[in-house]
Amino acid sequence: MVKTTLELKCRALGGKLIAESLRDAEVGLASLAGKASDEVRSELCCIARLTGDGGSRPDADALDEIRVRADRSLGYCAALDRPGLSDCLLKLCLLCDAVSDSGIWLEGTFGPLLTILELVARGQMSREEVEILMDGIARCIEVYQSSSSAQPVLS
Amino acid sequence: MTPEPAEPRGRLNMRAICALCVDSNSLGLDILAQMLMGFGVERIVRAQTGQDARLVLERQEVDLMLCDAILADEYGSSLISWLRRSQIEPNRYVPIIMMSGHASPSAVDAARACGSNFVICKPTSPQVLMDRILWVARGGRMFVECDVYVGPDRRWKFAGPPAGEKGRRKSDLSTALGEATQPNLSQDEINAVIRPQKVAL
Repeated sequence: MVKTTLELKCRALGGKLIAESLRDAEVGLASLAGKASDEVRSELCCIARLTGDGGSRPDADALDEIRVRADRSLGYCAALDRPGLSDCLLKLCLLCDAVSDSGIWLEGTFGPLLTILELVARGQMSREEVEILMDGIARCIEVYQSSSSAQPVLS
Repeated sequence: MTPEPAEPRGRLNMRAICALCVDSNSLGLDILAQMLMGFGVERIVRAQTGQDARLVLERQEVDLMLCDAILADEYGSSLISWLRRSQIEPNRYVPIIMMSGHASPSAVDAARACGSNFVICKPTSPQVLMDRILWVARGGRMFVECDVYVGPDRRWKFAGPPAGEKGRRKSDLSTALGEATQPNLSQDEINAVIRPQKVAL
């Protein structure tokens, strides 16, 4: 058993009330909201460029980059009060995975999700609306997943 | 009407803690730093690449490490695996929380196999981060070192090895009961072992 310095130091006398710590952390995060919003929009612009007009399937590198940018944007959501944004970004990651694992390409696959993301990032959609629209995205992911189990994956 | 959740009680002294935050982008580091500063952490070291993090870990002692799963120059899992297998004392035992946005089963498996204490899904809220820090600060987890794994004990239950398998540890006992090696205890002997205590009312 190794006793870490974290264990020893955290138990020292004094310190902050946990409730107060959480409130201070929330205040600190709120101060980053503007910057986080700009960064999310910038990432979404890059993702839109990578997906192009949806006429052809993004190559493996592009899909990786979309996934990385969506993943990064997920982190920024901690500083943003945008209901449903993290759910949409997670769906984007899942869609990338499904497309990567599948041999098929449905024209305009990323288009609807990117449009929803734009609106959610601007705060123009409620969580309820996002949930309804995400059902459609989930069905699209299922189509790719079912095709990947039926066909060999194209490299 | 749903009652308001109770405010967490108790205090935590994180003032003397040195936390290393590793994330490939500055806003991600700012977000972590704001949360930790809110918790009262005064020493926060930032690293944007795996290489930067290695230099910090070689040069100074850290008490807590928060690491993103995807760094600019490597995966977070390879950095953690390197640290756990290094000879950098005491940093190789440091509690590590890995953060991942898209926590696919393979990503969680990789985080578990590299020796991180916990994986948190992004976006990370202060409440979740605090819960996990409290959890790792509680300690009581063995540190395992063997050929295929170095890191905190990944076993959460003490239920012995899986049924039908031989345990991998020296301390694992056989699940099959053997023959008794001594005669059964008599009632007097049992009574002597389980003796009722007098209670003063």
